[in-house]
Amino acid sequence: MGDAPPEQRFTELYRASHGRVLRFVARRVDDDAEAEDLTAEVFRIAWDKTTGGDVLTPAWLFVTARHVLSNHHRSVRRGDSAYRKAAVTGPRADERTADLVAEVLERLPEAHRDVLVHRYWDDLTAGEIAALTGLSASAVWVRLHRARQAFKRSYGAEVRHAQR
Amino acid sequence: MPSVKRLMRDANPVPGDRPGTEARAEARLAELLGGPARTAAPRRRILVGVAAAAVVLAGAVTVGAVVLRDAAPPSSPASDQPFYPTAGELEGSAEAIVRGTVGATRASAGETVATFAVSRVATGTPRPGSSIRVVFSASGPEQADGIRQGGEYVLLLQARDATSWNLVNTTQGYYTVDRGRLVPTAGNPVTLGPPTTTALGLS
Repeated sequence: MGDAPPEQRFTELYRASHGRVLRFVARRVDDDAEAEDLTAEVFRIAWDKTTGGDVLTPAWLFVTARHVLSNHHRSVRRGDSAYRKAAVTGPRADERTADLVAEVLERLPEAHRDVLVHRYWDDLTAGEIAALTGLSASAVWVRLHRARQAFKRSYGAEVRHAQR
Repeated sequence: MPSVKRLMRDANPVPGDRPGTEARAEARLAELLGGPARTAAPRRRILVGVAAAAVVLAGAVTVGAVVLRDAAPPSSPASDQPFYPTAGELEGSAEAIVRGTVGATRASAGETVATFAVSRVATGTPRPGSSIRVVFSASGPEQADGIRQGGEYVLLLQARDATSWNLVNTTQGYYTVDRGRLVPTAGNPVTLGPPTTTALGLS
């Protein structure tokens, strides 16, 4: 793919990654139209880079999406790590479960919360999470393992508390 | 308690794309590339238009465009992988640890089915000289994509059913044998213990 013409490289990357990048962005803003506009900005930057000779990866797109989101959140004075509330917008989840998951995520340390969200909501690979977090891929697996353990403990406690 | 993966995925606030996303994405791609003059209508204008039409037609309860069309691509069940930080835990998770060579492979429903000729056995029921069937994910975010036909590997296996095996996970379930040494995948920091490597005839 690295030897392909820039337009072909970009088109392949765009079609393979647009949906994932859009959903990544949409989980971090409150408005669908905003999410599409911010995603378009990510790919505009990617196209500029591609015409400049860079060979980009999906991981690069997610890192760029985070920067674009960060600028956006600064402009609207929101925190970077804000996620949509699953209990409010998640149409598939059992509402009580979604509430509990949201509460547990809120209470986890940010590093644990982020790795769980990247893995299970954003569907990122260990390599992509590594690019976003600055960790090695093996450290991502270790962190994910610990985050799952922490989530289980906290979720179990929430369920027991709810049953009292 | 359901798995963490299941709980998280069930609570995913944006599990799939909104209607019309793909068409707008293609239009924006064409704009970027300077292709056909298909102008992407601004998203906000579309939403306003849809809402207005629905109000006229039906009083419009469900227009809010929260109906999801394309769900995110399903991931392999193997992607909720346990991670084993030590050799003891990793080897303890395996029902069989074998050395051998990958023979024929075929794709089946998002998985790869490989015939594996066993040459040495550290633990488990496979016998040296036998062939076993190993099934691993060929889709989803994590795949055992370092396994190649003709390559020599050490596999850490769990029984899938009476006739086939799964890797314990896609990053720690196999090691490549390269000139008598074990090479783990990039995401696997664990070195197998000396008793195991000795049983497999490796340094």
